Amino acid sequence: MSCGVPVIRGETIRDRLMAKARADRIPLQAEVEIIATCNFKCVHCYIAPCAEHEDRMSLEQARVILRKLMDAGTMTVLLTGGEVLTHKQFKEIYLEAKRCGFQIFINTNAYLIGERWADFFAEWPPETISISIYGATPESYERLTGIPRSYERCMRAVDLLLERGVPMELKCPAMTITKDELPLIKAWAASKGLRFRTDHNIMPQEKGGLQPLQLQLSPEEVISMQQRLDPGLVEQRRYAERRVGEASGFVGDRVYLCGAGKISLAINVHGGVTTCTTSRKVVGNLFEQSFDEVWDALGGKVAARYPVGHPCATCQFHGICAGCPATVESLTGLPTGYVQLYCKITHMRAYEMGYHPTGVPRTVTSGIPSGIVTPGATTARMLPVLN
Amino acid sequence: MATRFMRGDRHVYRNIAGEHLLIALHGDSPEPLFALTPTAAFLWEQLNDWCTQEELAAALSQRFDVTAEQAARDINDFLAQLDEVRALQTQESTP
Ligand code: SF4
Repeated sequence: MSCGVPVIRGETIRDRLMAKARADRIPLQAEVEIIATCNFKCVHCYIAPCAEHEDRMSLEQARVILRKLMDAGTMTVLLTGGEVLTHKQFKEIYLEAKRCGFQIFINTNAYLIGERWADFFAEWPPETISISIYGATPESYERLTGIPRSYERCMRAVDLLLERGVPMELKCPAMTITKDELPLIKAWAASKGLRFRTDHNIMPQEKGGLQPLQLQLSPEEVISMQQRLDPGLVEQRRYAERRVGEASGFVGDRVYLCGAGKISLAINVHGGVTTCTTSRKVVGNLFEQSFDEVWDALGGKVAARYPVGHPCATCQFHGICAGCPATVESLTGLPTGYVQLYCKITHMRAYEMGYHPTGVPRTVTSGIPSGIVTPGATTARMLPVLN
Repeated sequence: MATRFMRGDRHVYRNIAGEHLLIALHGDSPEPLFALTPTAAFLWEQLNDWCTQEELAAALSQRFDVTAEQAARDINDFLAQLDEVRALQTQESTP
Protein backbone atom coordinates (compact mmCIF):
# COMPACT_ATOMS: atom_id res chain seq x y z
CA MET A 1 0.00 0.00 0.00
CA SER A 2 1.26 3.47 -0.78
CA CYS A 3 0.00 6.98 -1.17
CA GLY A 4 0.95 9.44 -3.83
CA VAL A 5 -0.15 11.76 -6.55
CA PRO A 6 0.88 9.91 -9.67
CA VAL A 7 1.25 12.26 -12.59
CA ILE A 8 -0.68 10.30 -15.17
CA ARG A 9 -0.92 11.89 -18.56
CA GLY A 10 -4.36 13.22 -19.38
CA GLU A 11 -4.86 10.88 -22.34
CA THR A 12 -3.96 7.80 -20.32
CA ILE A 13 -6.45 8.50 -17.60
CA ARG A 14 -9.04 9.58 -20.13
CA ASP A 15 -8.64 6.30 -22.05
CA ARG A 16 -9.03 4.37 -18.80
CA LEU A 17 -12.10 6.36 -17.82
CA MET A 18 -13.57 5.98 -21.29
CA ALA A 19 -13.26 2.19 -21.09
CA LYS A 20 -14.95 2.13 -17.68
CA ALA A 21 -17.63 4.58 -18.79
CA ARG A 22 -18.43 2.46 -21.84
CA ALA A 23 -18.65 -0.66 -19.72
CA ASP A 24 -20.86 0.92 -17.04
CA ARG A 25 -22.74 3.48 -19.18
CA ILE A 26 -21.43 6.51 -17.32
CA PRO A 27 -22.24 9.90 -18.93
CA LEU A 28 -18.64 11.04 -19.06
CA GLN A 29 -19.20 13.82 -21.62
CA ALA A 30 -21.92 16.47 -21.78
CA GLU A 31 -22.59 19.30 -24.20
CA VAL A 32 -24.44 22.15 -22.53
CA GLU A 33 -26.02 24.91 -24.59
CA ILE A 34 -26.16 27.92 -22.30
CA ILE A 35 -27.45 30.43 -24.84
CA ALA A 36 -29.08 30.07 -28.24
CA THR A 37 -28.61 33.63 -29.52
CA CYS A 38 -25.44 34.96 -31.10
CA ASN A 39 -23.70 38.23 -31.99
CA PHE A 40 -23.02 36.94 -35.54
CA LYS A 41 -25.56 36.42 -38.32
CA CYS A 42 -24.01 33.37 -39.98
CA VAL A 43 -25.94 32.17 -42.97
CA HIS A 44 -25.50 28.48 -42.19
CA CYS A 45 -26.46 28.58 -38.49
CA TYR A 46 -29.03 26.06 -37.27
CA ILE A 47 -29.77 27.67 -33.92
CA ALA A 48 -29.28 31.44 -33.56
CA PRO A 49 -31.43 32.76 -36.45
CA CYS A 50 -34.58 31.35 -34.84
CA ALA A 51 -33.61 31.97 -31.20
CA GLU A 52 -35.32 34.48 -28.91
CA HIS A 53 -33.73 36.63 -26.22
CA GLU A 54 -35.04 34.34 -23.47
CA ASP A 55 -33.45 31.24 -25.00
CA ARG A 56 -30.65 31.14 -22.46
CA MET A 57 -29.93 29.22 -19.29
CA SER A 58 -29.86 31.26 -16.09
CA LEU A 59 -27.00 30.83 -13.63
CA GLU A 60 -29.38 29.02 -11.27
CA GLN A 61 -30.51 26.67 -14.01
CA ALA A 62 -26.92 26.03 -15.05
CA ARG A 63 -26.13 25.16 -11.43
CA VAL A 64 -28.93 22.59 -11.41
CA ILE A 65 -27.60 20.99 -14.58
CA LEU A 66 -23.97 21.00 -13.44
CA ARG A 67 -24.90 19.49 -10.09
CA LYS A 68 -26.84 16.67 -11.75
CA LEU A 69 -24.01 15.99 -14.20
CA MET A 70 -21.48 15.96 -11.40
CA ASP A 71 -23.48 13.44 -9.41
CA ALA A 72 -23.88 11.30 -12.53
CA GLY A 73 -20.10 11.12 -13.05
CA THR A 74 -19.66 13.53 -15.96
CA MET A 75 -16.08 14.58 -16.50
CA THR A 76 -16.06 16.89 -19.52
CA VAL A 77 -18.52 19.66 -20.26
CA LEU A 78 -18.69 21.54 -23.53
CA LEU A 79 -20.19 24.99 -23.06
CA THR A 80 -21.76 25.95 -26.34
CA GLY A 81 -24.35 28.20 -27.96
CA GLY A 82 -25.20 30.44 -29.74
CA GLU A 83 -22.27 32.54 -28.68
CA VAL A 84 -21.40 31.68 -25.08
CA LEU A 85 -19.46 34.87 -24.38
CA THR A 86 -22.57 36.98 -25.01
CA HIS A 87 -24.18 35.29 -21.99
CA LYS A 88 -24.12 37.93 -19.25
CA GLN A 89 -23.28 35.31 -16.64
CA PHE A 90 -20.83 33.27 -18.68
CA LYS A 91 -18.00 33.87 -16.23
CA GLU A 92 -20.08 32.72 -13.26
CA ILE A 93 -21.31 29.62 -15.09
CA TYR A 94 -17.80 28.80 -16.26
CA LEU A 95 -16.28 29.20 -12.80
CA GLU A 96 -19.06 27.16 -11.27
CA ALA A 97 -18.26 24.38 -13.75
CA LYS A 98 -14.53 24.69 -13.01
CA ARG A 99 -15.09 24.49 -9.26
CA CYS A 100 -17.27 21.43 -9.73
CA GLY A 101 -14.15 19.81 -11.21
CA PHE A 102 -15.30 19.47 -14.82
CA GLN A 103 -12.85 19.59 -17.67
CA ILE A 104 -14.33 22.31 -19.81
CA PHE A 105 -14.45 22.78 -23.56
CA ILE A 106 -15.77 26.01 -25.07
CA ASN A 107 -17.20 26.78 -28.50
CA THR A 108 -16.91 30.45 -29.45
CA ASN A 109 -16.57 32.76 -32.43
CA ALA A 110 -14.00 34.67 -30.31
CA TYR A 111 -15.36 38.08 -31.32
CA LEU A 112 -15.51 39.21 -27.67
CA ILE A 113 -12.12 37.85 -26.65
CA GLY A 114 -9.86 40.80 -25.88
CA GLU A 115 -7.05 41.13 -23.30
CA ARG A 116 -9.37 40.65 -20.31
CA TRP A 117 -10.96 37.38 -21.47
CA ALA A 118 -7.57 36.12 -22.65
CA ASP A 119 -6.07 36.82 -19.20
CA PHE A 120 -9.04 35.15 -17.56
CA PHE A 121 -8.68 31.98 -19.65
CA ALA A 122 -4.95 31.93 -18.98
CA GLU A 123 -5.64 31.96 -15.24
CA TRP A 124 -8.57 29.53 -15.40
CA PRO A 125 -7.74 27.45 -18.48
CA PRO A 126 -10.32 25.32 -20.24
CA GLU A 127 -9.31 22.01 -21.83
CA THR A 128 -9.76 23.61 -25.25
CA ILE A 129 -11.33 26.70 -26.73
CA SER A 130 -12.71 25.79 -30.11
CA ILE A 131 -12.83 28.84 -32.34
CA SER A 132 -14.91 29.04 -35.49
CA ILE A 133 -13.05 30.61 -38.41
CA TYR A 134 -15.32 31.66 -41.23
CA GLY A 135 -12.99 32.69 -44.02
CA ALA A 136 -9.39 33.37 -45.00
CA THR A 137 -9.92 37.06 -45.80
CA PRO A 138 -11.91 39.86 -44.13
CA GLU A 139 -14.24 40.01 -47.15
CA SER A 140 -15.18 36.33 -47.23
CA TYR A 141 -15.27 36.07 -43.45
CA GLU A 142 -17.58 39.01 -42.99
CA ARG A 143 -19.78 38.05 -45.93
CA LEU A 144 -20.58 34.89 -43.98
CA THR A 145 -20.87 36.37 -40.47
CA GLY A 146 -22.55 39.62 -41.48
CA ILE A 147 -20.51 41.51 -38.87
CA PRO A 148 -17.98 44.24 -39.71
CA ARG A 149 -14.48 43.76 -38.24
CA SER A 150 -15.34 40.24 -37.13
CA TYR A 151 -12.33 38.85 -39.06
CA GLU A 152 -9.87 41.28 -37.48
CA ARG A 153 -11.25 40.66 -33.99
CA CYS A 154 -11.13 36.90 -34.36
CA MET A 155 -7.52 36.99 -35.59
CA ARG A 156 -6.55 39.17 -32.64
CA ALA A 157 -8.30 36.81 -30.21
CA VAL A 158 -6.36 33.84 -31.60
CA ASP A 159 -3.09 35.73 -31.09
CA LEU A 160 -4.00 36.84 -27.57
CA LEU A 161 -4.85 33.28 -26.53
CA LEU A 162 -1.74 31.89 -28.22
CA GLU A 163 0.50 34.40 -26.43
CA ARG A 164 -0.92 33.16 -23.13
CA GLY A 165 -0.71 29.47 -23.97
CA VAL A 166 -4.46 28.88 -23.72
CA PRO A 167 -5.28 25.51 -25.39
CA MET A 168 -7.16 26.14 -28.59
CA GLU A 169 -8.29 24.58 -31.86
CA LEU A 170 -9.78 26.10 -35.01
CA LYS A 171 -12.67 24.87 -37.09
CA CYS A 172 -14.65 25.93 -40.13
CA PRO A 173 -17.78 24.44 -41.64
CA ALA A 174 -17.25 23.15 -45.19
CA MET A 175 -19.89 24.70 -47.42
CA THR A 176 -20.29 26.11 -50.91
CA ILE A 177 -19.09 29.51 -49.68
CA THR A 178 -16.09 28.30 -47.64
CA LYS A 179 -14.78 25.29 -49.56
CA ASP A 180 -12.24 27.15 -51.67
CA GLU A 181 -10.66 28.81 -48.65
CA LEU A 182 -10.43 25.75 -46.40
CA PRO A 183 -6.89 24.80 -47.52
CA LEU A 184 -5.74 28.37 -46.76
CA ILE A 185 -7.39 28.31 -43.33
CA LYS A 186 -5.88 24.90 -42.59
CA ALA A 187 -2.42 26.13 -43.60
CA TRP A 188 -2.84 29.24 -41.47
CA ALA A 189 -3.87 27.11 -38.48
CA ALA A 190 -0.82 24.89 -39.02
CA SER A 191 1.43 27.96 -39.18
CA LYS A 192 0.16 28.84 -35.70
CA GLY A 193 0.66 25.27 -34.47
CA LEU A 194 -3.09 24.78 -34.06
CA ARG A 195 -5.30 21.81 -34.81
CA PHE A 196 -7.88 22.43 -37.51
CA ARG A 197 -11.06 20.53 -38.29
CA THR A 198 -13.96 20.89 -40.63
CA ASP A 199 -17.38 19.32 -41.02
CA HIS A 200 -19.37 19.15 -44.24
CA ASN A 201 -22.82 18.37 -42.87
CA ILE A 202 -25.11 21.39 -42.84
CA MET A 203 -28.26 21.14 -40.75
CA PRO A 204 -31.67 22.80 -41.17
CA GLN A 205 -32.56 25.48 -38.64
CA GLU A 206 -33.88 24.29 -35.30
CA LYS A 207 -37.39 25.56 -36.02
CA GLY A 208 -37.50 24.05 -39.49
CA GLY A 209 -35.99 26.73 -41.75
CA LEU A 210 -34.27 25.00 -44.65
CA GLN A 211 -32.16 27.90 -45.97
CA PRO A 212 -28.83 26.58 -44.61
CA LEU A 213 -29.19 23.43 -46.73
CA GLN A 214 -28.53 25.47 -49.86
CA LEU A 215 -24.92 25.72 -48.66
CA GLN A 216 -24.46 21.94 -48.42
CA LEU A 217 -21.67 20.59 -50.63
CA SER A 218 -22.49 17.94 -53.20
CA PRO A 219 -20.71 14.55 -52.92
CA GLU A 220 -18.27 15.54 -55.69
CA GLU A 221 -17.49 18.82 -53.92
CA VAL A 222 -16.97 17.06 -50.57
CA ILE A 223 -14.49 14.60 -52.08
CA SER A 224 -12.61 17.28 -53.98
CA MET A 225 -12.44 19.45 -50.84
CA GLN A 226 -11.18 16.49 -48.78
CA GLN A 227 -8.57 15.64 -51.40
CA ARG A 228 -7.25 19.19 -51.18
CA LEU A 229 -7.14 19.14 -47.38
CA ASP A 230 -5.80 15.61 -47.12
CA PRO A 231 -4.01 14.67 -50.36
CA GLY A 232 -4.41 10.97 -51.09
CA LEU A 233 -6.91 10.85 -48.18
CA VAL A 234 -4.09 9.63 -45.95
CA GLU A 235 -5.75 10.66 -42.68
CA GLN A 236 -9.14 9.38 -43.80
CA ARG A 237 -7.58 6.05 -44.73
CA ARG A 238 -5.97 5.75 -41.31
CA TYR A 239 -9.36 6.36 -39.72
CA ALA A 240 -11.13 3.95 -42.10
CA GLU A 241 -8.71 1.05 -41.60
CA ARG A 242 -10.24 0.03 -38.30
CA ARG A 243 -13.82 0.88 -39.20
CA VAL A 244 -14.61 -0.75 -42.53
CA GLY A 245 -15.88 -4.28 -43.09
CA GLU A 246 -17.44 -7.07 -41.01
CA ALA A 247 -14.40 -7.55 -38.76
CA SER A 248 -14.52 -3.91 -37.62
CA GLY A 249 -17.57 -4.51 -35.45
CA PHE A 250 -19.33 -1.52 -37.01
CA VAL A 251 -21.43 -3.49 -39.49
CA GLY A 252 -24.90 -4.42 -38.28
CA ASP A 253 -28.32 -3.08 -37.45
CA ARG A 254 -27.25 -0.89 -34.50
CA VAL A 255 -28.23 2.66 -35.44
CA TYR A 256 -26.02 4.58 -32.99
CA LEU A 257 -22.35 3.69 -33.28
CA CYS A 258 -21.19 6.76 -31.36
CA GLY A 259 -21.12 7.38 -27.61
CA ALA A 260 -24.48 9.19 -27.47
CA GLY A 261 -26.66 7.86 -24.67
CA LYS A 262 -23.82 5.54 -23.61
CA ILE A 263 -21.14 7.95 -22.46
CA SER A 264 -22.50 11.29 -23.65
CA LEU A 265 -25.51 13.57 -23.89
CA ALA A 266 -26.46 17.14 -24.76
CA ILE A 267 -28.63 19.61 -22.86
CA ASN A 268 -30.30 22.61 -24.49
CA VAL A 269 -31.02 26.03 -22.97
CA HIS A 270 -34.38 24.82 -21.66
CA GLY A 271 -32.96 21.73 -19.96
CA GLY A 272 -34.05 19.44 -22.81
CA VAL A 273 -31.83 16.41 -23.29
CA THR A 274 -30.80 15.09 -26.70
CA THR A 275 -28.20 12.66 -27.99
CA CYS A 276 -25.91 15.53 -29.07
CA THR A 277 -26.28 19.17 -30.13
CA THR A 278 -26.98 18.10 -33.73
CA SER A 279 -30.15 16.33 -32.61
CA ARG A 280 -32.99 18.69 -31.65
CA LYS A 281 -35.40 15.98 -30.47
CA VAL A 282 -35.51 15.99 -26.70
CA VAL A 283 -36.12 12.80 -24.74
CA GLY A 284 -36.62 14.45 -21.34
CA ASN A 285 -35.87 17.53 -19.29
CA LEU A 286 -33.22 17.93 -16.60
CA PHE A 287 -34.94 20.97 -15.06
CA GLU A 288 -37.96 18.80 -14.33
CA GLN A 289 -36.83 15.19 -14.15
CA SER A 290 -34.18 13.22 -12.35
CA PHE A 291 -30.97 12.45 -14.22
CA ASP A 292 -31.64 8.71 -14.11
CA GLU A 293 -35.06 9.12 -15.66
CA VAL A 294 -33.70 11.17 -18.57
CA TRP A 295 -30.62 8.98 -19.00
CA ASP A 296 -32.86 5.90 -19.21
CA ALA A 297 -34.96 7.57 -21.89
CA LEU A 298 -31.83 8.44 -23.86
CA GLY A 299 -30.58 4.86 -23.45
CA GLY A 300 -33.87 3.66 -24.93
CA LYS A 301 -33.47 5.96 -27.91
CA VAL A 302 -29.92 4.90 -28.75
CA ALA A 303 -30.78 1.22 -28.48
CA ALA A 304 -32.62 1.61 -31.81
CA ARG A 305 -32.11 -1.00 -34.54
CA TYR A 306 -32.58 -0.55 -38.27
CA PRO A 307 -35.61 -2.29 -39.72
CA VAL A 308 -34.96 -5.34 -41.89
CA GLY A 309 -34.02 -4.29 -45.41
CA HIS A 310 -32.66 -0.87 -44.39
CA PRO A 311 -29.58 -0.14 -46.54
CA CYS A 312 -27.46 0.88 -43.52
CA ALA A 313 -28.11 -2.38 -41.64
CA THR A 314 -25.78 -4.39 -43.85
CA CYS A 315 -23.48 -1.63 -45.07
CA GLN A 316 -19.72 -2.25 -44.92
CA PHE A 317 -19.14 1.48 -44.57
CA HIS A 318 -21.44 2.17 -41.63
CA GLY A 319 -18.40 2.93 -39.47
CA ILE A 320 -17.16 5.68 -41.80
CA CYS A 321 -20.51 7.01 -42.98
CA ALA A 322 -20.67 10.73 -43.76
CA GLY A 323 -23.99 10.86 -41.95
CA CYS A 324 -24.98 9.78 -38.48
CA PRO A 325 -28.34 9.16 -36.76
CA ALA A 326 -28.52 12.80 -35.63
CA THR A 327 -27.89 14.31 -39.06
CA VAL A 328 -30.27 11.78 -40.62
CA GLU A 329 -32.87 12.66 -37.97
CA SER A 330 -32.47 16.37 -38.80
CA LEU A 331 -33.23 15.72 -42.47
CA THR A 332 -35.81 12.93 -42.27
CA GLY A 333 -37.32 13.29 -38.78
CA LEU A 334 -36.06 9.83 -37.74
CA PRO A 335 -32.62 8.51 -36.74
CA THR A 336 -33.54 5.38 -38.70
CA GLY A 337 -34.26 7.35 -41.88
CA TYR A 338 -32.02 7.30 -44.93
CA VAL A 339 -30.25 10.20 -46.68
CA GLN A 340 -28.81 9.32 -50.06
CA LEU A 341 -26.54 12.37 -50.01
CA TYR A 342 -24.53 10.89 -47.11
CA CYS A 343 -24.53 7.51 -48.78
CA LYS A 344 -23.12 8.94 -52.00
CA ILE A 345 -20.40 10.87 -50.18
CA THR A 346 -19.42 7.76 -48.23
CA HIS A 347 -19.32 5.47 -51.26
CA MET A 348 -17.38 7.98 -53.33
CA ARG A 349 -14.87 8.31 -50.52
CA ALA A 350 -14.71 4.51 -50.16
CA TYR A 351 -14.01 4.31 -53.90
CA GLU A 352 -11.21 6.89 -53.61
CA MET A 353 -9.67 4.83 -50.81
CA GLY A 354 -9.94 1.59 -52.78
CA TYR A 355 -12.68 0.02 -50.65
CA HIS A 356 -15.47 0.09 -53.24
CA PRO A 357 -15.33 -0.82 -56.94
CA THR A 358 -17.57 1.93 -58.33
CA GLY A 359 -18.32 4.52 -55.63
CA VAL A 360 -22.03 4.19 -56.39
CA PRO A 361 -24.34 3.00 -53.61
CA ARG A 362 -26.79 0.17 -54.14
CA THR A 363 -29.73 2.50 -53.64
CA VAL A 364 -28.76 4.41 -56.76
CA THR A 365 -28.77 1.31 -58.95
CA SER A 366 -31.58 -0.65 -57.27
CA GLY A 367 -33.61 2.10 -55.59
CA ILE A 368 -34.34 2.82 -51.93
CA PRO A 369 -36.36 -0.01 -50.35
CA SER A 370 -39.97 0.92 -49.68
CA GLY A 371 -40.91 1.84 -46.13
CA ILE A 372 -37.60 3.63 -45.46
CA VAL A 373 -38.10 7.27 -44.46
CA THR A 374 -36.16 9.75 -46.61
CA PRO A 375 -36.02 13.58 -46.58
CA GLY A 376 -39.38 15.18 -47.39
CA ALA A 377 -39.87 16.74 -50.81
CA THR A 378 -39.09 20.30 -49.69
CA THR A 379 -35.94 19.24 -47.84
CA ALA A 380 -34.83 17.02 -50.71
CA ARG A 381 -35.18 19.91 -53.17
CA MET A 382 -32.67 21.91 -51.09
CA LEU A 383 -30.05 19.16 -51.05
CA PRO A 384 -27.51 19.34 -53.87
CA VAL A 385 -27.56 15.63 -54.65
CA LEU A 386 -31.14 15.82 -55.92
CA ASN A 387 -30.85 19.12 -57.73
CA MET B 1 5.97 24.12 17.19
CA ALA B 2 3.86 21.64 15.20
CA THR B 3 3.35 21.85 11.49
CA ARG B 4 -0.24 21.52 10.40
CA PHE B 5 -1.54 20.87 6.92
CA MET B 6 -4.71 21.47 5.00
CA ARG B 7 -5.57 20.97 1.35
CA GLY B 8 -5.51 24.10 -0.80
CA ASP B 9 -8.26 25.44 -3.01
CA ARG B 10 -6.33 25.25 -6.28
CA HIS B 11 -7.49 21.68 -6.98
CA VAL B 12 -10.77 19.82 -6.87
CA TYR B 13 -11.13 16.16 -5.98
CA ARG B 14 -13.52 13.99 -7.95
CA ASN B 15 -14.28 10.31 -7.97
CA ILE B 16 -15.27 9.42 -11.51
CA ALA B 17 -15.89 5.84 -12.57
CA GLY B 18 -13.98 4.67 -9.50
CA GLU B 19 -10.91 6.77 -10.34
CA HIS B 20 -9.72 9.25 -7.70
CA LEU B 21 -8.84 12.44 -9.54
CA LEU B 22 -7.31 15.71 -8.48
CA ILE B 23 -8.20 18.35 -11.01
CA ALA B 24 -6.16 21.55 -11.25
CA LEU B 25 -8.19 24.74 -11.48
CA HIS B 26 -5.41 27.07 -12.60
CA GLY B 27 -3.08 27.45 -15.55
CA ASP B 28 0.14 27.26 -13.53
CA SER B 29 -0.32 23.58 -12.62
CA PRO B 30 2.28 21.18 -14.08
CA GLU B 31 -0.59 18.90 -15.18
CA PRO B 32 -4.33 19.54 -15.48
CA LEU B 33 -5.13 16.22 -13.87
CA PHE B 34 -3.62 13.91 -11.28
CA ALA B 35 -4.69 10.43 -10.26
CA LEU B 36 -4.74 9.59 -6.56
CA THR B 37 -4.34 6.16 -5.02
CA PRO B 38 -7.22 5.11 -2.71
CA THR B 39 -5.08 5.85 0.36
CA ALA B 40 -4.15 9.26 -1.02
CA ALA B 41 -7.83 9.97 -1.64
CA PHE B 42 -8.52 9.07 1.99
CA LEU B 43 -5.80 11.46 3.16
CA TRP B 44 -7.10 14.22 0.86
CA GLU B 45 -10.45 13.83 2.63
CA GLN B 46 -8.70 14.13 6.03
CA LEU B 47 -6.96 17.29 4.81
CA ASN B 48 -10.34 18.97 4.64
CA ASP B 49 -9.33 20.55 7.95
CA TRP B 50 -5.98 21.46 9.52
CA CYS B 51 -4.17 18.40 10.85
CA THR B 52 -0.70 17.28 11.79
CA GLN B 53 1.32 14.49 10.20
CA GLU B 54 0.77 12.40 13.32
CA GLU B 55 -2.98 12.81 13.12
CA LEU B 56 -2.91 11.79 9.47
CA ALA B 57 -0.78 8.74 10.29
CA ALA B 58 -3.15 7.70 13.07
CA ALA B 59 -6.16 8.03 10.77
CA LEU B 60 -4.40 6.10 8.01
CA SER B 61 -3.30 3.18 10.19
CA GLN B 62 -6.75 3.03 11.75
CA ARG B 63 -8.45 2.87 8.36
CA PHE B 64 -5.93 0.73 6.41
CA ASP B 65 -3.80 -2.21 7.29
CA VAL B 66 -0.52 -0.32 7.59
CA THR B 67 2.07 0.08 10.32
CA ALA B 68 2.66 3.47 11.97
CA GLU B 69 6.17 3.66 10.44
CA GLN B 70 4.96 2.86 6.96
CA ALA B 71 2.10 5.34 7.34
CA ALA B 72 4.48 8.09 8.50
CA ARG B 73 6.80 7.48 5.53
CA ASP B 74 3.96 7.44 3.00
CA ILE B 75 2.40 10.56 4.43
CA ASN B 76 5.66 12.39 4.30
CA ASP B 77 6.03 11.56 0.60
CA PHE B 78 2.43 12.36 -0.14
CA LEU B 79 2.55 15.77 1.53
CA ALA B 80 5.75 16.60 -0.33
CA GLN B 81 4.07 15.74 -3.63
CA LEU B 82 1.00 17.79 -2.79
CA ASP B 83 3.25 20.68 -1.87
CA GLU B 84 5.10 20.37 -5.16
CA VAL B 85 1.88 20.69 -7.17
CA ARG B 86 0.73 23.57 -4.93
CA ALA B 87 -2.21 21.61 -3.54
CA LEU B 88 -1.25 22.03 0.12
CA GLN B 89 -1.39 24.78 2.73
CA THR B 90 0.99 24.69 5.69
CA GLN B 91 0.77 26.34 9.09
CA GLU B 92 3.18 26.40 12.04
CA SER B 93 1.41 26.38 15.37
CA THR B 94 2.39 26.23 19.01
CA PRO B 95 0.77 23.28 20.76
S1 SF4 C 1 -26.05 5.94 -45.55
FE1 SF4 C 1 -25.10 4.55 -47.05
S2 SF4 C 1 -22.92 4.60 -46.52
FE2 SF4 C 1 -24.01 5.43 -44.77
S3 SF4 C 1 -24.35 3.62 -43.47
FE3 SF4 C 1 -26.19 3.88 -44.71
S4 SF4 C 1 -25.86 2.54 -46.49
FE4 SF4 C 1 -23.84 2.87 -45.52
